[in-house]
Amino acid sequence: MTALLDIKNYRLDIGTFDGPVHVLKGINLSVNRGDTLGIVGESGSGKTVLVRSVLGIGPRNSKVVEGSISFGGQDITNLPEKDWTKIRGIRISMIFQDPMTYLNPLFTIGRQISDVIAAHEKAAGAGVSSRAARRARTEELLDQVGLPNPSMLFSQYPHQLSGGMRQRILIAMALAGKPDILIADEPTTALDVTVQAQVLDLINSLVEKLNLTVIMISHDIGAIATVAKRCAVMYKGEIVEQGMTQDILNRPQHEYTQRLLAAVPDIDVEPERVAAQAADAKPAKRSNLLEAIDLKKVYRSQSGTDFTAVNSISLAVKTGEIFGVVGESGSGKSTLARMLMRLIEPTSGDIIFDGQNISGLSGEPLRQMRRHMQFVFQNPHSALNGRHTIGDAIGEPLRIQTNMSRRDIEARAEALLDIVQLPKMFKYRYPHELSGGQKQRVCIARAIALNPRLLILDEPTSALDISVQAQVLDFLQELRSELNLTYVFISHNLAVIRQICDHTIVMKRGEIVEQGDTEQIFLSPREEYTKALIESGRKTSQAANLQV
Amino acid sequence: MTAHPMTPIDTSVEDTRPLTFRERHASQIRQWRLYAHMFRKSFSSMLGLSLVVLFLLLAAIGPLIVPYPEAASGAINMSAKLQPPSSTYWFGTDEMGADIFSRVIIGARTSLWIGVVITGIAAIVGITLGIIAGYRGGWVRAVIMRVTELFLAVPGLALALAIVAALGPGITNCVLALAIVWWPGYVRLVEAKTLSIKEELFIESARSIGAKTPWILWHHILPNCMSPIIVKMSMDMGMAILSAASLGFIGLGAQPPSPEWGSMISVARTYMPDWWWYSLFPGAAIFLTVLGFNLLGDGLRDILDPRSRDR
Repeated sequence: MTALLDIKNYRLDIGTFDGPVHVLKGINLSVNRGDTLGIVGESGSGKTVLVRSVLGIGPRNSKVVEGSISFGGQDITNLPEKDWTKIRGIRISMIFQDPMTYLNPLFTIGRQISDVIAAHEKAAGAGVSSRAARRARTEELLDQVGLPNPSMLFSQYPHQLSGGMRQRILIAMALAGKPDILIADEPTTALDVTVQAQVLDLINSLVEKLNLTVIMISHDIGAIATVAKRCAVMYKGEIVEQGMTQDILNRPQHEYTQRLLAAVPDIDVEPERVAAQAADAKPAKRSNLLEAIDLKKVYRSQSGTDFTAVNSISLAVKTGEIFGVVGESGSGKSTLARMLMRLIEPTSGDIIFDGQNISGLSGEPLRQMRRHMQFVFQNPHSALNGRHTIGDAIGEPLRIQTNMSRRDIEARAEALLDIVQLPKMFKYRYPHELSGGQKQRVCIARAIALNPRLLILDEPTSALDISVQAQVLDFLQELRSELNLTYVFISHNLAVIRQICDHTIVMKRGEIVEQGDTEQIFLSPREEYTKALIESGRKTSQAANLQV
Repeated sequence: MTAHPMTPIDTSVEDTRPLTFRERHASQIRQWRLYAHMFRKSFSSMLGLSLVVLFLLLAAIGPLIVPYPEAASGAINMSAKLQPPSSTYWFGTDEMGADIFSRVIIGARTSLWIGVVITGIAAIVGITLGIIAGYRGGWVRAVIMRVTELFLAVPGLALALAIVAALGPGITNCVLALAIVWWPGYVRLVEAKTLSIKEELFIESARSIGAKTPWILWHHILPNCMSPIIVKMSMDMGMAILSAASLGFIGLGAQPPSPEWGSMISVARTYMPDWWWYSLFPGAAIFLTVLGFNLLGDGLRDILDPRSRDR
């Protein structure tokens, strides 16, 4: 049997101003009918470009240098646009990363899927079937992806649905043409942990039921391991390793794969760090650096209804500890973090920093207080002004808050670059020239420029690749002991929380569900919600898959 | 897209010698080379740039190179009146016998002055109001924007006409009147841009390190508004020159014998069509200048558009 999809020695260049960039270098990959193939790689490894090329929607200015892609015996490397319409969406379908943006908000779910069906029928040359027939088919598809009550869903709009439901609808849409191959580009990345597990289960059940061939790309090895039997590891435009997923996870051959696997934080591993830290931590009772008392934030919508984003939260962060806040999206953890810094005004409640109530401060005292607590944002790509050099960005807090001379600020900026382990010459560079991990280091350098006592880190690693995440986490811990910092660490990633936090609160819908010692929460969660959260986290964890 | 080609940064240079200018500014140099590269690819942008450069050159050194410098100050030479273009008088002469070629070239300086002052005043007023309206919001924004809309509701040239009529004709009043009606466009542009930029994370980040509002406006919002402002100013240069010429044409702008293109045509229209060269050459000068600034603006928009930043 010949392979359904056969990629032979495929090389792709993208022409840029600085000359061609070799995005794909000699890719060899074949997929048989019924296969489930996972492609793992970091951002920039070329995995998305590869699968987009399979669909003929490669990047602009790209040029195939060598090699070919054949699908079902037909060479599709340089297929004219006209012939693509018979393949795209019908024989090969794709589901995309972000379910929020791939549905048109102006049309009902039913309309959008029916239109896809009609388009396929038209492309196939047959006449378009009746509205009722398409409706029946749409509802069948919705049912197939496990959505309850398809007939009601048919007339609903995308904004009425949750992220997980939207991703299911995209899957239904992709299945509309009864494709031979389903390509899933990071299908779970934008979703919450509990929803991730459900979507992966769905893909698995579809593979069984429909004998589907699936190619799934992800940077998350756990997700790949849940779905894919075979797996390819991509690094810098090359496939460095491929084989059975179990073999790769258990006995990685290539040095990069080993590094990648080592970097994945594991939810079931008790961190050694706790023991190490406990030894040097002073046994004396530590005072509270930051306290929140009955903090509340109510948003009033234009229709007059109130939405409580954060409801009566009280917490106490001790000096020198890492305080974890964990919760799914919409649980109010970012709102809470911004309130602690007074970036958002709380509706009611008090914030006490180092014995001083800061909730009433304004003007100059508030500005002075901000020296002592700093914020590191989730997305380092947009937290830096693209028009400022790195040196300006790091020097900015010094220029605002101190009277240091220009030369002193330059020197301090260089010293800070040194602390965050970046070369000094970076101060002349612009943010867009740096990688995500480097940018996050710059953001951290900026945050520690004024020697603050408290850092609030809002998902500092979730926009980063796994191997970079590991580096940044290690680095954060080093920095803390060096500079005597206290962290409030917000994350949706339970494994990361377990790895570094001393004390953790679990949030759901603006309220604290459970709080206590991190280890205690992970070993014996008291609340149902916490248990469910940890269970879903475990499902996509790498260790769980190794034991299968 | 994940396949964003990242510029590789050479991290091997880690010795202590001071960096050369070239190394320190490698990023800017690359950016400017990229702009130049993209600009050169477009014929119309290059044409626009050449016309603008020619215009600026004439404005700078015009009075030094013209064959009859006295033509600009109203010298009368009745023996050579209304001569057709020839090798002595390239663009012919007018009814006073002044050389039109000299007058057109000397007029470039007047036009440049008009364009720069009008767009300059309009931009300063408009950017200030726009950035305040966008950043502050609330009633401040409401007041600024309603006043702006009030100005936009009246056709600009008609309003300018009324103002000049009230102040009395003359080139200074004409420029003043045009500047008064010109700023609302900038308010609209800058307000819209500010509204989107102030939601960016780096603004919140600046606030979290204790930056005051003026600092944020000056260091963060303004630089990020600059691209569309530069494009609009370039296009407005042409339009302002055209508007001033229009006012000159109906006799409210520069007064003869000052060599302003609009007022030259105003006088010349009575000599149409027999003495065609009298109005043709000042007209062509206006046409080419406006065309040049517009093409330049288009070209700048193409290269400053953020969507082309990735290349």
